[in-house]
Amino acid sequence: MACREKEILMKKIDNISFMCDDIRLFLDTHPKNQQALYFYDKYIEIRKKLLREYREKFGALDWYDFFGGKYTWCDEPWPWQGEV
Amino acid sequence: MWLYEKRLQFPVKISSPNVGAAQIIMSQLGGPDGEIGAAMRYLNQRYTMPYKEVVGTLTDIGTEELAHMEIVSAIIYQLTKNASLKEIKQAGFDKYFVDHTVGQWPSAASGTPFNAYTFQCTGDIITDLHEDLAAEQKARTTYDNILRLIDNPEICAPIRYLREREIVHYQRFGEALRITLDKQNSKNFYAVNASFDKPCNK
Repeated sequence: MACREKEILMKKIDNISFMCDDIRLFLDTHPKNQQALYFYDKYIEIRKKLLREYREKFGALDWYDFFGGKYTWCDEPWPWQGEV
Repeated sequence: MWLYEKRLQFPVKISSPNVGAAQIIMSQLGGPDGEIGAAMRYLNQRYTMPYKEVVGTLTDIGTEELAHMEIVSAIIYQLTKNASLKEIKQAGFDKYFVDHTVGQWPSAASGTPFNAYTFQCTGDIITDLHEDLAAEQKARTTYDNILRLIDNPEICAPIRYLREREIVHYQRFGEALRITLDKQNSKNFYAVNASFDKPCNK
């Protein structure tokens, strides 16, 4: 059950991060495009919330996040192992 | 500084080994138009770029290429994990295996080691951007060929994703080139290197 929940949450993070990645490249060459900027800020906000939820349930995804008293960085499977 | 995030840009989940496919896909790690070369090309070119949009584009696409390198490596890892010696011999992977086992040594599918001569950093903005446009198309062609050779949907999904990114990057580099030419047209009709010949930037 927890595994399924983790998978769904990770999928949400992957999707929203991809939108941010794609819009960021677009903004590099269209810095004045207000519509793109609006969506970028909006998606970054959603991404932050999802990352917080993931950290609270399954541990930190990036280096500069809290570990909350237990160092789990090396315990969780690595992304290339295809387990998440 | 780079920030490592513990996830792939696109998920890779392959259920059974296929060393023959791994050998082919390895070209997109260390081959002539692979992801290592892509990341090194853009991240090295950016220092001498005179325009901020181009520096930003090279930094962000170069960083994404590092993530693509990890996707290609994830595919190779999962395709070679738990492969039997029989499968390794049958696929002709034994010639790689003898030196590297199933470790990931960056090379082309033909066995040629990764080489910095597969990319350029000329220090000339127009030359470098044309190099980048060509690189994205060359990588797209390689992904097309991988899709011709492999039909397992678990492998094809991330390969298709990577192929699509080549097209988007090509688009962004095209815009970077247009921005560059727009900035140079008035005083630099003959496209003298704006990265080195400073008056061209005024």
